[in-house]
Amino acid sequence: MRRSGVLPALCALVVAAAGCGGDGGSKAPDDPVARVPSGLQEKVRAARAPHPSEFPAASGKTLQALADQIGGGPEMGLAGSVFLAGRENRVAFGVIDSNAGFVYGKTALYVARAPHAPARGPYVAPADVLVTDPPYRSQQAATEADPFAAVYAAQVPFERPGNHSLLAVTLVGGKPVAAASRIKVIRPADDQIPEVGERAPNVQTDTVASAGGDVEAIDTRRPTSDMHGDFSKLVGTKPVALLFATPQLCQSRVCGPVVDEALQLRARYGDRIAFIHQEVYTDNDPNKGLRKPLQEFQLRSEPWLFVVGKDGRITARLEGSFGLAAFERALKTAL
Amino acid sequence: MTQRARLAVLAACALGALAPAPPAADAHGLVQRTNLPIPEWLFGWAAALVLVVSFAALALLWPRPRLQEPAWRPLPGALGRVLGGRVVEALCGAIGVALLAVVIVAGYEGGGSSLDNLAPTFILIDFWVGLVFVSALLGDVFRVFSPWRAIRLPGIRPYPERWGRYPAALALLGFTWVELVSGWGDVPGELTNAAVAYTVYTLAMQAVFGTEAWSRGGEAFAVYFNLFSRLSVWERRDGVLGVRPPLSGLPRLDAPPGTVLFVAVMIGTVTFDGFSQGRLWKDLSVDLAGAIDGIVGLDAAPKVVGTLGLLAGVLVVGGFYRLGIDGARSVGGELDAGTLRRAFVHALVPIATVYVAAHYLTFLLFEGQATFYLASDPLGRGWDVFGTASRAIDYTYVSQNGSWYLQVAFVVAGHVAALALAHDRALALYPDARLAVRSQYWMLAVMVGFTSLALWLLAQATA
Repeated sequence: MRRSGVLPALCALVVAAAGCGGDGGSKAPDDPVARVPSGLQEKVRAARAPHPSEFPAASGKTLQALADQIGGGPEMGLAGSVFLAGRENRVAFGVIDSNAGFVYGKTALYVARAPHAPARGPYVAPADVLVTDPPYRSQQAATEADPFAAVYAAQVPFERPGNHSLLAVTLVGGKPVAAASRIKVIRPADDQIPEVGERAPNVQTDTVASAGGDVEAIDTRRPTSDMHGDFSKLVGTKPVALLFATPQLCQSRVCGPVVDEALQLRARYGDRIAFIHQEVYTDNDPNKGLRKPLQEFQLRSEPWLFVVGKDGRITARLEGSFGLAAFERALKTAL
Repeated sequence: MTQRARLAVLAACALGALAPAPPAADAHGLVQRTNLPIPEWLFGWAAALVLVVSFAALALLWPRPRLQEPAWRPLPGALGRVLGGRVVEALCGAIGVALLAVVIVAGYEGGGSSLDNLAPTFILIDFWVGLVFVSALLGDVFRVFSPWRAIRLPGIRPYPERWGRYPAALALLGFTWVELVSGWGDVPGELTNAAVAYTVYTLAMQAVFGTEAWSRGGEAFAVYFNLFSRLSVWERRDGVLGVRPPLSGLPRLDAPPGTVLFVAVMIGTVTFDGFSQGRLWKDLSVDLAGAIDGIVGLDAAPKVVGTLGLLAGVLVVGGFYRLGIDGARSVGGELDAGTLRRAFVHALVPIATVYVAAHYLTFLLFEGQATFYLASDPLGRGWDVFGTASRAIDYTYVSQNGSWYLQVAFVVAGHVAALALAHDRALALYPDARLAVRSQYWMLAVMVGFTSLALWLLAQATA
């Protein structure tokens, strides 16, 4: 009987340690770049803070003239497909070298209606880190042979619809290298996807119960997550982050570990925002088409994030790859 | 139903399980084995062949019982007395209590998901799976680290003998239900509620029946890990640590009421866990849940189906064992079924061990690494107490093929061990060695069935 007092005493000690451990104990670094492989940290850190003055001025030159002046080499991989005229757009992309490796460096974007039209820019494209803390890293992300540690994103205004040419310029060892691409800008009226400010479609997203208990049927992440609430029941009760993504069946290298990011940010915002992950393909088979919630949102690509305020209106939407910083900014629009 | 007719039914069930493993189910998982030198079904046949050869070798080369009266030698000098002494026991008990306290605090105060909270990883991986390996290798470690046994209570009434191990079997079934069926088995708060409830229940039972008596028959984890520890060469007797021949702890297992059920729960729940990861069960369970969701509700339907599946797993394993016993009884020897069931139940423990070892090996090797970063930051608050918070899970240090070979090796070795134990017991039980061998024909069929089932489940889970 003498030892029966041990349990409460130890509990008290542990509780006390829990209460004050943050003061005296070591703290894990809160720097997102610290999660990036050590060999890349310096480059990624620099790539997060580009300044327009570090890039050539467009000063009336055509995009082609800029490209000729700088010299090419890498390729540009776009991480989005929907761009609207008459507003500022997030243009996310990766710069990829001839060995399919990501080119890290300070990066900016130039745009023009055509290669021989006058260029606008530079629009700086800070690197946004894609690597999550270890607890939130999926098996897919952990076993990726050559994962992208970051994605670039610039805020670019497009005045009119139509084709546009892009030139990404990255400073590698102080020297610029350029990569080109093209996009199609559409009129907002032609965009069927719910826009910021609109009421989100009241879709029923897949739940473990609706899948008959088979969570792997509605989640290709490994291990599966528990972010499978029903959007139609949650919307209007609290802000919701609705993420359409398929970790296993992602069609490009720049779709990023967005579900991992959602899990990490849920740890910080989960008490104020409901997080829902909706898989993309019917029966997780790309040949069977998109699941119903994506059809109701008129989506044709993945991943997509919609942040919906408590009033049911969309406060932010992100397409393609997005890092933790962009994800967090989007979440804050609903708070 | 006559015994002959019952045997026919049971044999039909067994033949279904003995059939060659089908090709892998629809590929839908992330990690799949590639480039195996021979197909998976051939592994099944090879494993069965190993058992048959082992059986023949046992019949020829093992003519007398060897494990029934095992030798035990204390460790030399004062080492055995120190390691098995009360000081070490008290220290380990205090560590066990402290760990339980840490897990409870983490469960309630830490992050809201299993990803950033120590409690689920500690309970479901380190404790539930890791301690099986530790027990089989190092002996009854849990007996000295148990936080509940550390609190010694004399009790106020004797433990009812007729209860035997039934309370432990039911508690074990309850734990596996929480883990596999509840849907909240890895939610830190809910799982911690269950741990606290179990702690309160255990301490209350210890207060009534005494700590030692309850640990022997009622405390599920004490019984569970003790059974695995009987495979180990390490044994503590009268406060002294010593060594014994491998496996020789099992023939000394007493078999009060509920022991067969307990072992059937051990194997049956792992069987269900493996089966539930395959396409066959997933399709079936979705259909069944769809059929009853109008009656019990959409949320409850998968749990009802899962509960039935879990119970079916236990029944199937119990049926297998009964088949072997009824078959052994049919060869003669004047031994009743109850005597035979109790006499051979210890032979199922190696099978339970390899079912756990094979089924949860990659779970322990990979997801178990989460312990490193969670130990540094058990509450998910950004701490780095041990400097391991940034150590991520390495999924590459054991290949999928490598883990498959290990799993197959576990399964075969465990079943050969089970055959040896059953053979040794039969030699001691039957007056005639030829009768003893004949009684084991049925046990061989049961072992081959269990082996095929184990390999088929592994193939299902990783298909």
